[in-house]
Amino acid sequence: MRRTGIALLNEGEGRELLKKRCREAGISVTTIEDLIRIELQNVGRGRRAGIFERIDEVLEQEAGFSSEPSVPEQRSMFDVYPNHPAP
Amino acid sequence: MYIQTIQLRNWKAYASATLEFPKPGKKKNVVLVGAKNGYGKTSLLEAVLLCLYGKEAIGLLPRLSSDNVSDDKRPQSYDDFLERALHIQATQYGQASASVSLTLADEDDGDVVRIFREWHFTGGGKHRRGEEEVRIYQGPEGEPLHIPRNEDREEFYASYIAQNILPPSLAPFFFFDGEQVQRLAQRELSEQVKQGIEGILGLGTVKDLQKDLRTYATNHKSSARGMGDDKLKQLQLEVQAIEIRLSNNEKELAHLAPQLEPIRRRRDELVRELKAATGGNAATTEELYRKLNEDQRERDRLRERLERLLCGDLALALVGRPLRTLLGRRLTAEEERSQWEVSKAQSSDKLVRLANALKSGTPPIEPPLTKEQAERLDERLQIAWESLWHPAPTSCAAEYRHPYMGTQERHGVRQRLEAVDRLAVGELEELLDKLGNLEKSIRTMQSRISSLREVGDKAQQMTDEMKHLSDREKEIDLRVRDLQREITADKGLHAQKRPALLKELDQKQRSRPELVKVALAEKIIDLLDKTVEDAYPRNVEAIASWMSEAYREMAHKKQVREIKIDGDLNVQLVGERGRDLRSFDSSAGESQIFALSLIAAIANVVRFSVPIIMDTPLARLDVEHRLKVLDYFTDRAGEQVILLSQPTEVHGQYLDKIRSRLSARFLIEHEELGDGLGLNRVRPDCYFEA
Repeated sequence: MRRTGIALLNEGEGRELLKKRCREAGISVTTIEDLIRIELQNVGRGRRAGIFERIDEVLEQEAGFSSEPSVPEQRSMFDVYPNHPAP
Repeated sequence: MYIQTIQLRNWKAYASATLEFPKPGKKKNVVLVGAKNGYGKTSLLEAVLLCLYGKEAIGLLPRLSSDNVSDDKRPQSYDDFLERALHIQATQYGQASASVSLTLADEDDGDVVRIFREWHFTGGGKHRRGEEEVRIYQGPEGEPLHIPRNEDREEFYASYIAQNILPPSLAPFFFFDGEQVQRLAQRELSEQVKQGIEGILGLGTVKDLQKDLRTYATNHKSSARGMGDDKLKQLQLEVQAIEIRLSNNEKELAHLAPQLEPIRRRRDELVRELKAATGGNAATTEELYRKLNEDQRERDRLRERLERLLCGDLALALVGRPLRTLLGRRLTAEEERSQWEVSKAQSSDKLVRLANALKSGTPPIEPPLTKEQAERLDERLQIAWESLWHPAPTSCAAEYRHPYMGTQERHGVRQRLEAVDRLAVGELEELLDKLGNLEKSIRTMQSRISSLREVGDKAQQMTDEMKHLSDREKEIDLRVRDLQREITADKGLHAQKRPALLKELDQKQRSRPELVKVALAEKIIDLLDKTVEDAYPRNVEAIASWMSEAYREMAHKKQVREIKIDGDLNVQLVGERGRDLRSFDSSAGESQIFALSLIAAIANVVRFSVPIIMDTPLARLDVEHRLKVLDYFTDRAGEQVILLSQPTEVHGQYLDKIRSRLSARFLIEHEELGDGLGLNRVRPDCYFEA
């Protein structure tokens, strides 16, 4: 499972909520993840050049105007650590 | 992920130092670094933060917000901080740079990433902005991280670290010193929780995304040609309304207009039928009735007059003229007698005055009359006066035969008798003739009415129907005229609005992809709002649960059964009896336990698995709390915990408490160089006790 990088949306229940809301809105979960990834990739950046072009690409793909993958996933060794289960 | 190596060069009092930490084991996961106060513990923590976040770390540095640092010693800016951080001997040896290198490794697969950051200075020790270098190496061979084309190196690295190691907003919950905990503890509980939760839940990122999507939507909306959605929708609604109205009106007109002709036809038929039925005049019956009524009223009047004639005047007429004349004369004579008597009575007063005048007038009678003479004179005068009125006139009646009558009655009777005398026989004949004619006329009319009555019911029905048809025709005619007017107006309006709508729709169609994306962006903003709204309380529950666990483990007073946080982030410390214990005064140590519980909860909930670095965290805690906090924070099997301690902090029983978990120990030794300057050296496998 790809992670959004947002704890709010990565928790088991939280993610289910995201999926439910996406289903209701007819929007792919991947689109939300891609958009959040774009934001995370811009954390700490003074300039936000290019961010709207990237958002546009994701929305274009979601709208079905483009078949190109919008945000190539960056995998790294630090990608995902499972959360500790709640006590 | 754990810190494998920290390398410092010209960093604060460290001219050159390397700290190598072993991979944390399930039982041995704690690294203990000892140093006296002011000998470089916090410099280590700062080195980690500066290496990871560069200038972004400036808000995270404990020294910059410490209450224990005087303003003249407190760095005022990133440049100021770095210039103070450059090792004092560096420039003397011609080394105008400082660097920190941090190597992190994955506990599971051993993958390594090294972050190297170097700052450059002038010969005078001024920070050269723009020459800061960051490099990230990956893998066992230390391959430089590939930077996509057109990406800014520094920004790319910052993003990489935030995503893959730890976002700067979460750093204070993993890398902290005692003062930070103390400051956090001094805040309202809800404030503490808010700061922590919003950071870990990544609300900042979600809000940034929503903000960017809004900007995107605004920009693309304005770039999409044509009018706004609202206006277009309004136009669509207007045209739609006109079309619906037109269609309905035309349908109604098509239904109503043909009804007029049959109604008019039927109405004309009825008029003709009614004329025929009523003798060519629909009003005959009514007129007959009116005439009949008039004649009947006149007949009644004449009959009354005849009755009066027959009952009154006729009897007087029948007594004959001579008797009426005789009675008239008699009444006249009695009237004259009446008047004679009145005149005579009125003259009696004059007699008395005459007698008095004779007897007492001047000149006086000489000799005066005696009594007897005077009486005789009165008698004579009386007789003489009487003689003046007698005999009575011949026209006067000798007596009254009708004394019950007064002057007026006599006059009235005489007039009546005269009227009877004047009553002509022709008048009575004329009256009888008139009555006869009227009776005849009445009978004729009654006969005609009777004959008309047979067709009356039918005529009434026809009249009713005609009235109904007339009303209906009027109603339909009015509605038809209204409809025709509305249709004409709507056709004009439609001819004006429809082309405008088509034009806008065409433009919208052409800019559809843009608008579709804008709509998507707006939908996603809404979706994120709803998801955050739903997910927030659930995450708050998880935090509260972890905080309860941590608080119970670390607080030596066991009054608090659990920590509850509601949707508005109001915190309750619930006691055994379910009471909120916040009202009880808590010690500074207990407040710190709450803050540490929050830190622990956040570290447990977030997905980032990074080591915990605690710089002198136990300073304000009593013995029992120190033991419990040490026990709780170091009990993280397989996860690295680095404790930076002064000699009096982790020692004796506290050291014994964690001794079994120690994977490495270091002692930082400080050599005074004079003028308050010094040089730090790191001695591995060594601590104060050694």
